[in-house]
Formats: sequence, structure tokens, C-alpha cells
Amino acid sequence: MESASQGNGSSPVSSDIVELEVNGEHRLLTVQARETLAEVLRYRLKLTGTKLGCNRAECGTCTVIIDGETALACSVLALEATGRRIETIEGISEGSATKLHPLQESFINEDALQCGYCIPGMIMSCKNLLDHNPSPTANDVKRAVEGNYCRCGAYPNIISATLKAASMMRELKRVVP
Amino acid sequence: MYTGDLELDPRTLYMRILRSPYAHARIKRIDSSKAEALPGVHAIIHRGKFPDWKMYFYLIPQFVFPENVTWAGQEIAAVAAESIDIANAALKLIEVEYEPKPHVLDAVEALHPDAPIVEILDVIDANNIRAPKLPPAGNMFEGRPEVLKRGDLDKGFAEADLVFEDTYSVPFQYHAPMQTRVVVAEWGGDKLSIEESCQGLWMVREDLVKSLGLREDQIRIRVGMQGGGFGSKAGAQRYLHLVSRLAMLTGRPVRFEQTRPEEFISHPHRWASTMWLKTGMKRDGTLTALSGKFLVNIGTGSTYGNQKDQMILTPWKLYSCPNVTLEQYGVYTNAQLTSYMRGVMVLMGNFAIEAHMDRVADLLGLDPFYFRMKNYTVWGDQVNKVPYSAYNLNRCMELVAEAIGWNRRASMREENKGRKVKRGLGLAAALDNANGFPPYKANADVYVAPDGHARLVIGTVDVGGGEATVLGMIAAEQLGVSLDRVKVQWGDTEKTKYSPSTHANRITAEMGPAVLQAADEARKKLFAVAADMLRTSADKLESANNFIYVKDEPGRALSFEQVCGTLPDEGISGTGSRIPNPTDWQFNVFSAKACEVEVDTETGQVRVLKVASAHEVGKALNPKLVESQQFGGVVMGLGFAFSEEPFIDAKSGVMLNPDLHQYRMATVRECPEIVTFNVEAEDPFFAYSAKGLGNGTLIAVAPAVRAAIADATGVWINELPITRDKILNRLYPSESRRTANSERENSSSKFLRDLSATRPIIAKDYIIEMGE
Amino acid sequence: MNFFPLLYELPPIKYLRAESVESAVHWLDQFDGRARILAGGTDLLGLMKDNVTGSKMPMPELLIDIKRIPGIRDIGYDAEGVLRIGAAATLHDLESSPLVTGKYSLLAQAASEVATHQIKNMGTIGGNLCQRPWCWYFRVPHFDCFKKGGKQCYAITGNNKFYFSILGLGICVMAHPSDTAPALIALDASVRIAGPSGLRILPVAEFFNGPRETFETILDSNEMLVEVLLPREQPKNSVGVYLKERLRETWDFALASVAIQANRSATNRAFEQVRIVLGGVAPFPYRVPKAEELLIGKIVTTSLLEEVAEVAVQGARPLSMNAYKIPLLKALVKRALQRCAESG
Repeated sequence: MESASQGNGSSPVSSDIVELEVNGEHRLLTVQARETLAEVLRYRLKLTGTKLGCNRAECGTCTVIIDGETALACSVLALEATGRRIETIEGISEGSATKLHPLQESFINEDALQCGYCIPGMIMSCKNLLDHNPSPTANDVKRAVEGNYCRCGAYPNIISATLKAASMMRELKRVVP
Repeated sequence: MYTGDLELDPRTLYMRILRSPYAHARIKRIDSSKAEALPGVHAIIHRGKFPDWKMYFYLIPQFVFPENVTWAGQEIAAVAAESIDIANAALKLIEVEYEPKPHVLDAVEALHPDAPIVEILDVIDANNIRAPKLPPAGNMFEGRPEVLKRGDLDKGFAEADLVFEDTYSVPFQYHAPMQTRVVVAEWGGDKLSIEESCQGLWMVREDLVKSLGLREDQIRIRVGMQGGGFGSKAGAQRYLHLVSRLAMLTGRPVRFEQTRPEEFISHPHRWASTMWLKTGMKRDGTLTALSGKFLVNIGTGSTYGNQKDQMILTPWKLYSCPNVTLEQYGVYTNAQLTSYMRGVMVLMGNFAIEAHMDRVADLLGLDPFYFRMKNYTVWGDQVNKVPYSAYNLNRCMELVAEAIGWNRRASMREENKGRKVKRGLGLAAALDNANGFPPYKANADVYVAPDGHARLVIGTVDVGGGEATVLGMIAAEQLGVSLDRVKVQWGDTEKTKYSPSTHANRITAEMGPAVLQAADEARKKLFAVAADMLRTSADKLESANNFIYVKDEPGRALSFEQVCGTLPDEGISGTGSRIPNPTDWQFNVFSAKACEVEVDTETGQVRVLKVASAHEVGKALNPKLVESQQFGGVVMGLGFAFSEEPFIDAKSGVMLNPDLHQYRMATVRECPEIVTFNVEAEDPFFAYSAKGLGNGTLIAVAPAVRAAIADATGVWINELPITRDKILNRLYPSESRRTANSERENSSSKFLRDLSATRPIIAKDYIIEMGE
Repeated sequence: MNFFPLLYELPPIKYLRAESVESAVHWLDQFDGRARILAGGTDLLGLMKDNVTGSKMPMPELLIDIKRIPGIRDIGYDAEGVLRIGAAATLHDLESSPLVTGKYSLLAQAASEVATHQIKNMGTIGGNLCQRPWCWYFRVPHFDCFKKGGKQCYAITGNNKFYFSILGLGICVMAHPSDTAPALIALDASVRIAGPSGLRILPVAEFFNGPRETFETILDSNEMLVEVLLPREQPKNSVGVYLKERLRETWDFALASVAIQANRSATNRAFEQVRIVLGGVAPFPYRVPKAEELLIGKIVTTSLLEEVAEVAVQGARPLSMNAYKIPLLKALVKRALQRCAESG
């Protein structure tokens, strides 16, 4: 995607325009070089679904999906992400709280969340898994969330919720291909 | 909404804290004038301005800005400024002159007569039941241990066929919730409004009332979601006092967000301990004597100091033994601050006694399951023969033993022969509080509206354990409506009444009866109305499934809407509270854990294959939530057993791993297959027999895995966490040198054995010079 | 005045999205040690947020984002059959690209052992090679250690339990944390470096400094890695095994690791050529040629493996807390060789 940024590589900038596609919407804004993607999502775009657990790429709480791959938003400068397609937790349900993504529904039904703080990042990791592998095993799910801490220890339910969601989604695809 | 997600008022200021680089130092001079002159700085507080200020955490007083810094990272000053950058710049301009002093981090070293004396943060106050009553003697808390004694120890040992003693240790454990603390406080001239991430509104408020000299009605606290507390957020945390004070001084909202390193450095966490146990046994496994000395490292300040006898209560109660003397010593050091964490000291005492008993069983050649079932107590109070209100320890043990396949032990040992990767089994049990703590105050209100829907108003905080759900269920059940008709309102001191903080197994146990009572009162009022409509008497009525009906003629029924529709606009209400527990019963919950591990004897790697967990909770009101708490407890227990520990540099007293990378919690990869059981039994003192759970689900995991490792390899590790190096050092003693730590451990055990409440401490006879 | 509740742990910095290697090098040179290459950023940004600085480690003022330089992430063969991997190829690229998993599986194995999948998606091979140590005295600002410009190593007399060396110790005793470095040396790989005076190629074995140097690699502050080059196809019976032992099964760096690339005879399976490189136990990836020599012309037996393992740890001088790495390393060497022997 052609970037509207001024910083076209000729000289260093302290701030610049960044163009992000966030959950399908094009957003154009000016940010400081030091602002991370997590900060821009949370505070400039008011998308506070993405949480910060450590701010140092050590916990996985801030996991988002950039161009189809998981990434830690706390360790990506917003300017690095210009022109990229970003998916956050706010984008995975179809627009309203009553039409949740199967992962979200499943997490609720399986009590896969306690304090809930790790869950947005956790679900993004699980969604990314299902995007690439619609029929994961329990071990595949474990691998997919190995980089997401849950201090409340809800791992067993997280795994079963993801497997159930995967099966729900395969079912839906069969019925509505 | 988590506190960190809140939209801010444009006038909001940001707080940053200046922290001490020294573990122990006197503040000679502090001057913030240059910092205050920085444009954008609104207020700075430090000991120059508030020298005698006492803050309260869990209702326990501690100094805020003492003259002596006693841990690396301690708050020296707090700044409120218009941006984070200005606040950080201001910190650099605050001039502080320190006079560094030697520090001490280890509890045994701290009892040395020449040890540096820690000027404790705790305020001595004989009139406060939660504060230390006496000043320390040297670094020993109150100058004396807590002692529990029954029978005649000498006689007990004299009767023994076998005597065994050993030393154990557990490290500090940190809550490390995924959300770091965030708060916004605003002073509106007469009222302090706080958005906080906390587990309990009322204790927080009480703490602030005392600390700031305000009235209760001048403080409003709200909480939405808080991202994990595990005991760390149940009272007014240290920074909350600073933020509130700055809010009052500046008249602007002040926000503070703690960074992850600050979380590790500044937040009080679980105590560390070295424990020594000595038991006398008969050959058939009967216990004749139990002697123990527990040294608790309470850092530079703790909530409720030494915690009285909380650690020795488990060894005191769990095993049947007529002759017991247990001593619990608190020792102040410069190793940060300590306070409650899930499992509190029960977790620690449980590890020591269960670890010891596994070894005893092994020495006697007895199966550890059999040994435990033979020796576990049935009396809540063995001396006065006070029974437990409900007792199902043996049922818990049977369930986990069967689930793990305990009868495979002998065949597993056969299969292990000649193999490099060996398997083993272990199990352990625990008892924990069922009922929380005084003053047992708990309130609930239930309102039923004319549309037939109900509202449960409680001052409790739902931390994610499903407290609102469970209490809503109690209300719904008692009223006779479906859960979707009950809306639970919580999280604001303005609109609710006192509830205990959500911790320590309190909520279901203490709030449950209050909610039950409130719902019951509301129901009675509804029945009076319905009785008229149905032309019968109230005592003939029943309610269920959104209907009120005549017990003997269910066909004569009215829907809730029909009955409530006749009510005035404000509907009806019921209120409930709880009375203290009776004293002629002991209230505890019991649990057991069993596990199977696999040990690679070449690399020392341990894999936990399966954990079985059984908890006796009276009644599982929401079985799914009970299961989740057990999952969470097992994971946290595994972290405690295998990988969680702080590393504090001995020379500087600075924490080396204040981060989520090297403070190693269990990840999903360490999570084994977990099988859970809810053991249900009547316990009439609680609503629907439902007791507490969340606090205790990690207890007994560590001794179970330790025993399983020993079962597989013959290696007994007494010092948690069981990290790779410890196993390899034991499997390959000639390859790896004896380390400095192991020598120190030997001296600790001798020291503890001779430590006595009545004899003076001669620690120096036991301390090996650590050298340079 | 802003009312964003930003924590702003990063200081104010400048950013450049480099369009070419020349541009990146130009600005590295201009900022004279105060500019850093920004690829994955998972290590660099954390260091900056933690304020890890010193006289030899100034806070970066300019971050040069190289990810949009054309070809910098590519993996492909050149005309001579050398596999060229762009410095910004991610660890995930390495573990999943058929060009790597096929003929250079040792590198793919090593890349797959790194941290977590998020880190592997972001982290690059260049970053993995150039990462700074995980010694906690280095990472905690309080200690002005040798690598930051101070005078001493605090780990020697302090806590040296996990990420510290038993071999090749010097003024600095950290253990080099890279997983890909031992694998690349075992594969006889090279790196292409760009600097103000142009490009040069260097074997990876010569890329790392010894423990007496401030920096772990020979890169000057105005140089950057451009490519990693893997030599032409390994012979048919070539096999690579990477084994890593760590405290937990994810996230952590190696307590000890072994990278072995071996060519065996098609007829009797004896070792014709073998390279054994140890990771996590020395301040640089540690090749053990004396151990390799014992294997040439031989087939694997239990006693030979014991001998090789003994020689591999020869000269080990553990610190006060990490002697356990000796039996661990020996077990790994034996196990990796056993796997080499059994495969193919």
C-alpha cells in the first residue's frame, strides 16, 4: 500500500503521518516516532481492547495480527506499521456485542477467562491459529498460545474453548460454505 | 473497563515515583525545589513535606517516607506533572543525599548479632490488632516467636522408634498479575473519587480514611474490571496513598500506571521461609512427636507482621500427633516488602510438613498414601476435641489417588529400571480457611421491581472468579427466579454496602449467607402479597422458575410478573448480613493433589504429565467456576514448585529479575492434563453449604510434585523452586561442585535446630563466611 | 499538553524508514554510534524502555527501520547455488521456508526453538545474531558493567546461575543467547556486511568477538548485516540436529544447546565431516574441533559418545552456580550425535 507518510526514507523524523488499516478501516494520523502501535491503538484510536502486560515483548498480552501474522503491539513502532493491515480484538466480532466471534462465544461458555486481562491477546493468537489451521489439535493450540501468559491459569479451558470454536467454525462452513 | 482503559479528563496529571537505588541507606537530605520549579510540575511529596505520614494497607500502618530507606526501589518522592515526560524529568531534578549502609537479605544472617538492623516500615501499635505490638529485638519480629504447644515433646521423642529431621525452604512468590496497577484519583474540594484496580472497595476506603484523615463519606471508590490481584489488590496499595495525596494537593485528577519492573520491585509479595522439622515415629508410622522451627523472611515490612501462627497452623492441625511444639519466627530484612498472596502462609507450612512426611514415610518403608490416611487428623482441635464443621479430607485423597492411578507405583518402579526417562507419582493434601476473617461483616440488598426482575446490590468486587455470578445464583435460587432475571450491581462504594475484599476464600462463605438472608427477606415479603392473591397463607407457598405457587397444589400459581405487577413503583426489598461463626466448630476446607511426573535423568528436565485435584467446597454452586479455580491453582502451584523465584543481588540488594522473562511463571506448555473433583458435603453454617475455594487451590501442588520426582529418581529436593540446576546437582554430584548455596543451607538447618525461644541467639556459630 | 495516558517508556527518538542499504549505512555513520538498526525490535525496544545505557552504550537517538529495503527479507538461491537469506528474514520465515527446512534443516530447527511464535514472527535472523546478552547485570541499569562501559563484571561474584558461561570465559561471563548462531557456524555460513566502504563477506565463525570485547560482534557502529549466506548444498548424507535445553519449554534462552551438522559415509555411516557448536555456555558460539576430530572415520558407539562429550566440555571452568551445565552439555552432545547417527 502506498504510504502517505512524509518520511519517505530521505531523512530521520521525530513524528510523521502513519496510515494504518485497522480492522478494515483506513486510519490516517500523525504520531511521534516513539509511539508504539499499542499506544496508538489504545489511546489515539481508542481501541482499548489491546492490553499492555509488560510493554517489553515478554508476556504476549498485547498480541495483535499484522498482515496475517501475530505480533506484539508494544514492540512495534506505529511508524513501522504504516501501510500494514492490522487486526485487533475489536475487529473479530461482526460489529455488535450480540454477534460474537465463535472464539469469543466459546471462551465465555467454557469459562476460559477469569480476570480477562490476557484474553484479547489470547484470542488473537487463537484466531491466527484458526486462520491458518481450521482443524488444530490440542497440541497445536498449546503451541499457538505458548507466548501468551495467563496468570489466572485458565489454560485448560482456553484449549478446550479454542477446539470447540474450531469445530463450530468448521460446522458453519459446511452449512454455509 | 479496566482502569488503564479509562478515558481521561484533559486536566489529568501524571504521577511518577522516585525510587531508592540503595537497599539500605539514611536519607540525609532531600530537596525538590529545582524539580518543583520545572514548568508543568504541580506537586511533589517526600519526607521533607510529610515526615510522619503513615499509610495503611490491609488496615496495617506503615511509614510512607521514613528517614531510612530499607529496600532497593523504595519510594523516596512522588511527582504530579502535566505529562509523563515532565514527571520523569522532574524525578531527575530531585536532589537526594544518601548515607548508604550495609544491608541484609537473608533471614538467618539477619539474626546474627552483628547484622545490620532494619529500620522497619511497620508501625508498632499495641492498640491495633493487626500491627506489631512490640518493637523487634534485633531483626526478630516482636522479639519472640509464635509458639504452638501440646503434650510433652521430650516424652514424645523418647517413645519414638525413629527420629528424622530436615530443613526446607520456599522463596518469595510474586503475584505478577497480567495487569500492572493503574489508578486515577480526583479531589473535588471535599471528596476524593478514585478509579482503582482493586479487589475490595471497603478495606481500601478504610485504609485511605486512616491515612489521609478523611471521613468515610468523603471517599468514593469505583472499580470495573481488575486484571488479576491474587491478594495484592485487597487493600489500599502503597502508591494509592501517594496518588490520593497528590490529587488533594493539586486539585486535579492524577493518574498513575505502574511499569512492570516497578510491579516486581515495589509491590509487597509472599514471604520466604526456611523451615526445620523433626519428627519421632513408631515403626508402624504412628507419630509420637513433632517439632518445628519456621523462620519467615518478612522483608522490611509486612501486613500483620509475622502472621502470628499462620504457617505453623498446618503442621499443627493436619497430622494427628499428641506431642507438638512449633515455633514461627519473623525476621526483618532488606528484601523488599511482604504481604498476602493466594495461599498465604498456609502454602508454605503445607509444603514443609507434607515434604517432611513424604520422607518419613519413605524412611519407614510405608506407602505415602497409607501413611497419610493413617495419620491425618479428624479433629479440628486435637486438644479440646473440637470437630470440623464438615470433614472430607479422606474423600479428597481417595479421589486423587484413584485418578492418578496410585496403584501403579510398584509397576512404575519396575519399568523405570534401566530407563533414562523415569516416571513417578506423588500426592499431598491441604487444609485451608473456609470462612475468612473478622469482623465477618457482610451486607447485601435485594430489590424486586414491579416487572418481576431483581437486583442484587453488593459491595463485592468480582475479580474474575465469578463472584458476582455465584452470589447472583444464590439470590436467584432463594427468590425462585431464573438467573437471567437477577442483575448484580457491584463495584462502587457510593451505591453499595460493606463487603469483605475478594480474597482469602471469603466471598462465597461470608457474602453468601448475607445474600441468602436478603433474598429470603424479599421473598417473604413477596409471599405475603402472593398469599393474598392466591387466598392462602404465606407458609403454604413456594417459589421456583419464576413462579410462586402453593406447595401442595402447584397448579395454583402466579408468575413473578403477576405478583410484582401489583407492587408500588419502588418494588420490595430485602436486606441481609452475616453473623460471626460459632466457636464450637472448626471451619476449614480440605483438598488433595496427586501428580505424575516424568524426569529425564540425563538432562534433569521434569515434565508434569498429569495432576488430579480434589477440593471439598461444601457445595459447588457453579461447578464450572470451581473447576476453573482448581485449574488456575494448579498452574500457579506449578510455577511456585518449579520456576518462580526472585533473584536479589546479594551485594547491592537490587532485584535482578523484575520482569516477566526471568521471573518465570508457568506457561501453557507447562500445563499438564488436569483432572478436577468437587467434593460436596453438607456444612450448615454456610449458604447452601458453599464455602470458599479460590485462595487454596495452589496448596499441596509443590509437595506432590517433589514427592513424584523423588519417586522417580530417589532425589529429594527440599528447596523450592525445583529448577533444573538443583536436580542436575543431585543427579551428578561429582560433576557439579558443591555451591555456595548448599553450604549455606547446611548451616541454616543447624541454626534452626538450635534456635530457641528461651535461649539467646548465637547465629554467628552457624554462619559460614560468604567470602568475597 | 496532551491527555493521552501514555506511559511513554520510550524516550523521544527519530525514525527513518530506510529505502536502501546505502541509506541505512549513511545514517548509521551520520549518527556515530547513536543510531541502531530496527528490524524486529523485540530486544532493542526493551533495552531502551529499561534505560540500559552506559558510556559504551548510549541511548539510541535514531532507529533505522530496514524492513522495507527491497530484498532484505528474501530467501533464495543465487547463480552459484549459495542460499541467500536477507538479514530481515524472520525466524518464522526460516522455520517454514522449504528452502531452509529442506537442505538446511539445522537452521530451521534452531529458528523454531526461539522464544514464542509472536517473537518468531517479528524477530529476524540479523537481530538474532546481533542480540545483546541476557545477563541480568547487563539488563538492570543499576549495574555499570563492563559491556556498558564500566570496569567490572558483576556476575562473576554475583548470581550466575542460568544465562552464564562455563567455557571461554573472559572479562565478561555471559552466555551468548543466540540459537541461530551455533547452527550457522555448524553450517559453515557467512554473513554479508555493509559499511561506508562497501560490502564484505565474513564467515559467521569470525563474526563473533571474544569475551574481552565490549560488543559481541565485530560490527562497527556504522555497519549492518545485509545477508546470511549458506554454502552450496550439503552432501546427500548430511544431517543437522539442534538441541536446546531450557528452564521452561518456551520463551527461555538456552541453558545449553548444541548444533551439529554431520556428513556420513554412504557405505558404512562413519562420520566423514562434522561440526559441533555449543550455545548458551560461552560468551560466543563455541565450536569444539577437538571433539569433532574424535568422530572422523568412526561410527557411533556408547563409549565414543562418552569420549566426545568429555572432550567437548574440556576446559570448562564453571562459575559458582552453574557447574550443572557440565553434565547437561555432555548429555546434549551425546543425544545430538545419537540423533545424527540414527537419522537419514
